Amino acid sequence: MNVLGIDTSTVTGGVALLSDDRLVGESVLNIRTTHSERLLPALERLLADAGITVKELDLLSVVTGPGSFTGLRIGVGTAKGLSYALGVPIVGVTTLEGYGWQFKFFPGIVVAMVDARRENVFWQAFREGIALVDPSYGSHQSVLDWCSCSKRSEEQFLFVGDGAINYGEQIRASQSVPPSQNLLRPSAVAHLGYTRYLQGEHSDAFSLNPTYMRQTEAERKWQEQM
Amino acid sequence: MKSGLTLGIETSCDETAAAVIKNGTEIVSNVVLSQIDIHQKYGGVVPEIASRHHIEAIMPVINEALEKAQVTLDDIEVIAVAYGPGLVGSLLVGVAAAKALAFATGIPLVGVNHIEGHIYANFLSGQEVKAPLVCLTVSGGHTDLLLIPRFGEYEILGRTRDDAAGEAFDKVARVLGLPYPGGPQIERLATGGNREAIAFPRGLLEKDNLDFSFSGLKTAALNYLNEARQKGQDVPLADFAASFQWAIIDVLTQKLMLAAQKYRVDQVVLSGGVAANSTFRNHVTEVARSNGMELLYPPTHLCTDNAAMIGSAGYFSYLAGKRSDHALNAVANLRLGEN
Ligand SMILES: [Zn+2]
Repeated sequence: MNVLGIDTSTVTGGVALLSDDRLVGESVLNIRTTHSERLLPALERLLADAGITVKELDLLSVVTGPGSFTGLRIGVGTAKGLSYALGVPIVGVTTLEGYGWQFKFFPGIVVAMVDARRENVFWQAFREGIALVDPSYGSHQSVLDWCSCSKRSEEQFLFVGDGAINYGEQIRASQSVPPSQNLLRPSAVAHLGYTRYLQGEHSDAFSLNPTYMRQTEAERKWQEQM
Repeated sequence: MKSGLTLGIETSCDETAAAVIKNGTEIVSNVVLSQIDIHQKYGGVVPEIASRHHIEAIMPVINEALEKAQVTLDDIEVIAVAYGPGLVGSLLVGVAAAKALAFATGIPLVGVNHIEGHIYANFLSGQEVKAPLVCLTVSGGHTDLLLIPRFGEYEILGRTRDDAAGEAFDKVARVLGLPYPGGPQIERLATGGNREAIAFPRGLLEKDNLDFSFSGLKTAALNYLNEARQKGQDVPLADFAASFQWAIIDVLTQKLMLAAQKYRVDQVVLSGGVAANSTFRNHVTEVARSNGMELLYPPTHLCTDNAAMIGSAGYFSYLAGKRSDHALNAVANLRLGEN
C-alpha cells in the first residue's frame, strides 16, 4: 500500500511516501516559499524519484491543524482534490498527534505545543504516542501548571513543537530537542495515518476538514456583542 | 479527452462555484453556493470565515457540477480555475483543489483572471460578441474599463483610483442599516425617488480621463446622512438613494461612452455584479443606442461571481495554448494581461 503523508501546518512542511510501513522517501523544506507553490512540485519530484505514478497512491494522511490557517487549507484542499480524483481514502491527523507519534519512544511525557501567538499555545500531552489529555488552547503557564501537578511531578517531560521553541525561556524545559529534530516530519504523519487506517479509521474528500481549534476574530467579537 | 468540456472553479470571494461548460459557450451545469447569508451580520465579507466555508464546500460543489452535467472527471478536457484577483485565502482553496485534480488526472490546467471571467459571462447567453469592443467591469472589488482589440488581448483604459463602485454602494448601505450586498438594497430604496434631489459630486469627469474615483461621492453621501442625523432631520430615503445611485451610474456611463468613442467601437459590454442593476443597464442601453452603439450585458445570474464564466474564459485561453503548471499560486491583486 502506497501511503502519502502531507504537512503544510507551518512554514516547514512537505511530503513523505511510505510503502506499507517502509519509508520510501521524504521531502521537507524549511523555507518561506508558499506551500501553494511548492507542495505539488515536491510531490511530483518525490513520486518520480520513487518511480511510481500518482495513480498508484492508495492512502493519504494529512495534517488538519492546528497551525497556519492558510497553510492547513492548502494541504487539506490538495488532499481533497487528490482523494476525489484518485478515489482513495484520507486520514486526518492533528499537528499535536503527529508530534506525539514522532516522539513516542521518549520514556516520559511528551508535551506538544503549537504556537498560537500572544503567549498562548495549542497543546496536548502524550505517553508512548497515546494522548493523556484532550487538545487544548491556553497560556504556556497553563501547560506548566498541568505538568507540575503533584502526581506528575516525578515525571520526565519533553517539550516539542514551535511553541516549545518560541516559549523556551518561559517553560525552562530541562529536556530540549535540537531545532532540526523538532520539526514535524511528514513521514510521522504518514505512519500515524497508516496505523489509524489499519485500525479502521478514515475520511474522504467531502468530510475531512481543517482543525482550527479557535473561532475567527470576527465570530468572537460578534459573540461578545450579543 | 477531446470532449470540449471545461470544468470551471471559482472561489475568489464569497461564492464557492463550479461549472461544466461545452465548447466555451454552452452551460452544461452551473453550481453557485453563496455565503452572503453568513457574512451579512458582519456587514461585509470576513476573509477568514469565507476561506473556512470554501474549504468545506469545494468538493461537494465540484461533485455537484459534474453530477448535474452527468459526466465524470474522465470526460473533462480542461480544468480552469480563477487564481486572482480576490481574497488570497479564498482563492487558494480553489487553486489547491484544481491543481490536485489536474495533477491526479493529467487533465490540462488553466489559471483564469477573475475579471477576464466576468467579460466571458457575455459569451454564455447566446449573444454575438464581436471584437474590438470596450468593456466596463463593475463590482464590489473592481471598476475597470478595458479595450479588447481582439479576444485574448486587453488594454486597460481606466480603473478606480480608490473605492470600487460596488464598494461605495456597500458602505453607504451599511450606514443606512441595510444588509450586504448594498447595490440591490439601494436600487430598491431608490424606487420612486428623485435622482436630481441631492447634487452629489462626480469624480474625475474631466475630458480624456478614463479613471474613476468614488471616495469623494462616498464621503459626501455619508456626510449628508450625518448632518441630517445631527440636526434631527429625517432623510428623504428614496431621494437620497436615487441621487446617490444616479451619481454612480452617470459617471460610469459617461466614461464608458467616452472610451467607446475614443476607440471607435460599435459594441460596449458590461460585466460584474453592478451590471445586474437594472437602472444602470437601462440607462446605458439608451445612451449607447442614441450614440449608434450596441450594448451587451450578461443575464443577471451570470453577473455575480460564478464558475461558468471562468470555464468559458479558461476554454478560450486553453485553445490559445495557455497552460498553468503545478506551482500556480493565488494572486490577490492580479491584473489583466499578467501571468
Ligand atoms: Zn467578481
